[in-house]
Amino acid sequence: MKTLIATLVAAALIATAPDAYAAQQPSAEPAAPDADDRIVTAEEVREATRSTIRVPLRVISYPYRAVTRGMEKGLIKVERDHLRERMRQWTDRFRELGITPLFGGMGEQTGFGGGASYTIGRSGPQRLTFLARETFARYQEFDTRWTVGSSKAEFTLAGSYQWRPMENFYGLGHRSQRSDRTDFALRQTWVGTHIEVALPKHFKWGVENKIVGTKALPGTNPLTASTQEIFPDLPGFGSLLRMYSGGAYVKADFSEGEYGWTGRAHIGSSYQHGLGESRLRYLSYEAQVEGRMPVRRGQSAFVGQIALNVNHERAGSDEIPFYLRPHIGGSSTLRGYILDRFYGKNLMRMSLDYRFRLQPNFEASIFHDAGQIFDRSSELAWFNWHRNYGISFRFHNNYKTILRLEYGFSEEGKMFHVSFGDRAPQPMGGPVRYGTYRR
Amino acid sequence: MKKQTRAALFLFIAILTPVLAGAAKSGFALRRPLRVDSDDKSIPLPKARQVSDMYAVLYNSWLRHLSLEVALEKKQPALNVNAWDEVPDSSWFTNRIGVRPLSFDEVTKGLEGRPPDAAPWRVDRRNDSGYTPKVEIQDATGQRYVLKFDPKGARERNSGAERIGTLIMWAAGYNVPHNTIAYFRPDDLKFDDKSSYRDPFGKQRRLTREDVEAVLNGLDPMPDGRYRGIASLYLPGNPLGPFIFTGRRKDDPNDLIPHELRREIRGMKVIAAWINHVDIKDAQAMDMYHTSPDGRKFVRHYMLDLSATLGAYEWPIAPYRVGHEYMFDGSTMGRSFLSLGLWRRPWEVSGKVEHQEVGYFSPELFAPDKWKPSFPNLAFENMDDGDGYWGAKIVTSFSAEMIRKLAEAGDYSRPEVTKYVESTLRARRDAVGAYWLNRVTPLEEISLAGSLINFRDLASDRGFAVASPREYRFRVETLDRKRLTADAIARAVDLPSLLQLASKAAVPTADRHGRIPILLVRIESRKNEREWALPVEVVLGRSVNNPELKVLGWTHATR
Repeated sequence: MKTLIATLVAAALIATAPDAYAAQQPSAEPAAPDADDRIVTAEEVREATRSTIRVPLRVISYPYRAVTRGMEKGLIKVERDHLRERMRQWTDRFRELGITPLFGGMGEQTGFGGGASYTIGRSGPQRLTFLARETFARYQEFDTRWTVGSSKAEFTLAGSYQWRPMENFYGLGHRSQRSDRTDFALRQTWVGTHIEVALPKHFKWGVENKIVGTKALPGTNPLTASTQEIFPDLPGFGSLLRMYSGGAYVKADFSEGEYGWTGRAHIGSSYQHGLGESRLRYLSYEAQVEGRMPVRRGQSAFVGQIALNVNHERAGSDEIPFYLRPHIGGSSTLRGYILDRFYGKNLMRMSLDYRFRLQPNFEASIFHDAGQIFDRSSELAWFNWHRNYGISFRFHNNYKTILRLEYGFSEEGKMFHVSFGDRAPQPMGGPVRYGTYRR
Repeated sequence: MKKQTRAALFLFIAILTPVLAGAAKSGFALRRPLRVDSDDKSIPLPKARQVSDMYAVLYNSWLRHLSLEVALEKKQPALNVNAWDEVPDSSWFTNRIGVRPLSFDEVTKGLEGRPPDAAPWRVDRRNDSGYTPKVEIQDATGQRYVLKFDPKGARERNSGAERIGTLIMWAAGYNVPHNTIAYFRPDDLKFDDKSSYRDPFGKQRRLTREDVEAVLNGLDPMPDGRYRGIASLYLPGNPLGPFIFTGRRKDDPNDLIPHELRREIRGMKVIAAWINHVDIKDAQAMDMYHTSPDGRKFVRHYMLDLSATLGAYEWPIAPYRVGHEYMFDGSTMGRSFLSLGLWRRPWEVSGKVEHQEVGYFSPELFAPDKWKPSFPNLAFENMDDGDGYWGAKIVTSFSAEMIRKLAEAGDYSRPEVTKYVESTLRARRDAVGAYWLNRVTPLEEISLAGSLINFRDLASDRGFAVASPREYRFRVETLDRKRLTADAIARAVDLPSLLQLASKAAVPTADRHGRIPILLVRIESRKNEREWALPVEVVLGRSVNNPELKVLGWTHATR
């Protein structure tokens, strides 16, 4: 009872206290509050706008006001100093010089980062591009690429170095445990050539040859056990694997835009041949097919994707190292699972999205993914498949995706993915881990 | 009782008690019989302020929804309204069209200032800010103007819109700059040592002909080689930065009323809807420290940049959303989401640009109550029916003849474009009239003659009455809203027992203006067969020195 009385007294005191709004004003009001030539007096305005809960509300809302006031001051400075315009001018100036700033990560869970590319001879038939980028999670990439070509054909000579310090691994096979989360680092270096020729009517054909050096090392995530601690018997850990990889592919693209009838296909195969002491020899076949069926043209569509990656070891070959094996889980594959949840020798994955536009730059989708990794085709039983469903939102500008939010549900629970930017896939998967985003 | 429970109870009661106490406040107040609100007393020079366009978008679109203060804020009626439900003249607004006959000549001559003298003009600066390219010039007499151009691919569009929009906003009562369409040849622009250019890096240097030619090269010249733009005269006085559509300028003692509670700001939404003034935001407003002819120094409030009116504002990827949706519109996005993208926005299906010189400015899908600027404007969101009706009175005051001349003022090369602007303005005006003058009982100039209440019914007068012949439902109430008569329905408001009722009613003391309000008469016009429009509430009373019963004032759309 005493508490109740005290409460009521306190409330009454608060209610009758002069409000902060009024307290701010006295110096600004005219001396004569009953001025007959004003449509309202200061007193009447105060009475009309007086809220008896203004004081407690102002106290509760203080953090909100502090944050918004700080934002406002910052943005006023940005506009007063023309920082946006300056940024645009700098970007344009850099672009004239062939320098392009890069923002975003190097695949899912690689953290936000930045970098730049520098291209010599952008408008000519030959281009030489240097690229360097790093993310806050210490992923690094350095590329050099020389390209010569026309609208019909393009030849590229390229070299690349990538340091991927925190890649997930949960064990091999679809029975691996989520609780066995480990991480490993991957250092990849490759040089190679790539030729792509435009064939008539929506088709492209390409050939790729690479010399790849790759080495798995203990992961750098202090919160996760390193892979070799939990899985000590994995072959190839800690030693440099050198190999030759060569392959060819065909691409077809019958696209009528984001929400139009679309058919896309990519079929390729490559041969990996270990160099030096390695006896690794295997063939890799990859296929991706995508179809879009508009429900309301320009507004909504069903998007179906199927991906297959089959690896066939030649007789006498070493086992394919775990880090070169296909893996599923994450924003680009199974969205209800954590990134790279399942590793296996072969992979099959399907997804069906219903995508619809909410606003010209904002779209939503309802999705269902199903996928499986398998060593033998006999393992590809329907009940072994990992399935998930969920909802996603994508915010993009006229050129590319800026932000993607995906919320998936699977037998392993809920998964929320946030990804910034786009990272286009490489022409061929092959033995190089690249970290692409679903587009 | 646990400590946490007690604390929660304390907080709950501490918040709830004053809410309930506050909710009990109510009462009748006869507003002041003033035609002028004297907010032009001399004040010291206020500090110039800056606003952020980006912050305004962020706050108005999203951040405010996170504020508890905003969530619990009560919607208030406009405060600067006089006894006749009008906005008095002030440093914000001057009653023009609708309250007096206004000719087109008066409108063109009414703008403060004059057009630039014939070229040549000296170029002072190149100005890279904003959507339309611009340079700043001086004519031979030293008058300074900002010369704004139409974007490429849209010749005549923004300049025509700005000229028409300026004249309309001035006629409606707002303070606007003197904006005129100007033609010139590149050779008419002269440069000297004072011509300067500050690049975005803040580096200032002498402006050269090449700098301005870089701007001109991005424009479409007229077929005769001249360029067209809008010459906007510098406003008189010291610029103090934009006024904000909410809150007050605290260093201006004349600025008593929070801007979101000013009727001319709230009701402007209806006028903006008519001319599709979608880019209406803090940054498009300006306070000037003005000196009157008698030497008083005070703040005057201007509406700037009307170049994005009619169809001149565009979103390249979604031109037909303009005026129908906010850039980030929760309601349409929510509708798209709930319908899984199957709902198609009607404007995306049938939106159409008829003439490039006008842009997307259509009469077909225009709904006055559903119109939206490009970003939420918080003063507009406070607009109530009384404000909307006030705005509609102004819009429907523009006669067909006035609209024809306004369209001609756009100086479009092709007559069919002028015709289109004229017909669209007329159709949209009619839509405004049909909606608001039927939603609210549109009675004005109300007086008492014996037992009969006389008035002018704007819906009948201006041809927007849906139900005809006009019929009214009315009753008499005491000042504390107790019914004295039953509802009566008739074609005229006749109250034979009025004197008898008045003699029975409690009589308050006279207010400072010598008025003694006694009775309220609530009148509703028939909206259609089933519904009545929102009422007008007429206050009857006496004055101290005249015992005769008369109309002291009225309020529209009371609830």
